[in-house]
Amino acid sequence: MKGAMRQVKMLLDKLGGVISYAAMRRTMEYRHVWAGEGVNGRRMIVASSLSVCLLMTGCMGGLKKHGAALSAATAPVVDAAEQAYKNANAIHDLRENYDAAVEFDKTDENGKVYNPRSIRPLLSEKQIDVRLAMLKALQLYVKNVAALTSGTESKELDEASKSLADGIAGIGNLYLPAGSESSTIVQTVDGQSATITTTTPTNAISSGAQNGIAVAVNALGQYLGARKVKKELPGIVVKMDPQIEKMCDAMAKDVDALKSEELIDFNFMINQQTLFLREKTSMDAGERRAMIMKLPDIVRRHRASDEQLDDLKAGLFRLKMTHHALAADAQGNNPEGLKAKVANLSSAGEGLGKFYSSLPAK
Amino acid sequence: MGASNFVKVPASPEIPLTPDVRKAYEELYGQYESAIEATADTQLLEQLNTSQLAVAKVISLDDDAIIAKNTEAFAAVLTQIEVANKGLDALKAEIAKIAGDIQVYAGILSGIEKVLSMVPVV
Repeated sequence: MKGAMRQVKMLLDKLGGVISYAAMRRTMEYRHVWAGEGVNGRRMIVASSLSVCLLMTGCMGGLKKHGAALSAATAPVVDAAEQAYKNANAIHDLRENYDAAVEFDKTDENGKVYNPRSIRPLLSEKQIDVRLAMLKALQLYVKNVAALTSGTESKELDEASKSLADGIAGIGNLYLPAGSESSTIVQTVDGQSATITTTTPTNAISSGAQNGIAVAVNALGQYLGARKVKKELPGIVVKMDPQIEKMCDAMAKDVDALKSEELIDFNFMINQQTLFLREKTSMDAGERRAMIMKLPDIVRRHRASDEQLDDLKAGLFRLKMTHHALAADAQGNNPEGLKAKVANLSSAGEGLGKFYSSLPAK
Repeated sequence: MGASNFVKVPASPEIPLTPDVRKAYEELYGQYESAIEATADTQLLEQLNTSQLAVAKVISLDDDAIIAKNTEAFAAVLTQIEVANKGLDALKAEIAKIAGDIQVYAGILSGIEKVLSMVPVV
């Protein structure tokens, strides 16, 4: 909160420092029409705009935090899941190679000989495609949610605010009497000092005031955007929550099935190879030794894959809980809501401060 | 380990397996694995491998059924996520429109300014 107030104070101080005031009463009267009561009124207008914006974007604080957390929780799940499906199929393919060696000289219970064309992947192309399409859609959903909850500042809004402020200032300067600015210097020539005062005409609406208008318009734009997000996003997120839960639960079951299949595949490879090597004691010693030495590699690969699947399962749980937290916050059930709102006042102020700093100084 | 110590499982179970039956098959599979890892007798190894393979086939059929069922669930979830994404796109467009509207007002003011600049100030 202190940080936010500091931001607002800094902005207002900056405004106060750069706005110049024409002495002419008539000018002041005209200005009162748009800026309230002089410097205080102008400050009040900008402060009010900022307050409204900060309050609204402050309400978005929890959503912003959870949106960012959701984004962080989704990325590893998507990457690991894609990798897990590909790995499981690759491991199964390898097992089928071992299977070919075992079955090649045998006939099955129906008297059929081994046919390599009977191989099939663990997951079909269609099954993989559905999963990848779902993960891609999930990524897009999370990206959109994160973008909408991260604030409504935009380059377009910044440009539009500047343009509108330019337009208002343009008309104001056309019809309002010009202001003036005096500067005094002391010159010393041949030991004689002279004071020279130069008065130059300035626009009726100074660049500082113009910047103030731009900030106010920008704050209003952000307020309107935040209001829309706050009104409509919770409905979408809350509706999606049971779907995300269903997806995470089904993917966790997928992981269990993949683990089970990989255990069977790796055990098959190791056990069949072990049996072969125990039976073929008369084979070339060097070749046999090389084949024996490959057995631990299969175990290592199994352990690494198992670990990845465990990580994926933990990631799925995290993703589910993170989305729950987002949905709870969207419904206003977050006990940390106030804390987050206060923390976010600072970032909202920072955003407007950044925009104000980008405006041209006089 | 004697044959009588192995877990008993139904001869031709219905797929998908019930959790209890699945657990029994997994336990039996594990028992075969322990026995395989504990012997170097090639004849016994061959028998144990064959028996373990038969158990593994049932577990694999159940895994296939789980994966197939999940595929249906994922297709349904995909449709719902796509609906949500359309909603989010519409929301993003509405927010972008705010900046667009301000730009329109700015354009109007600029036009007014141009017109007024041609009118002499009285």
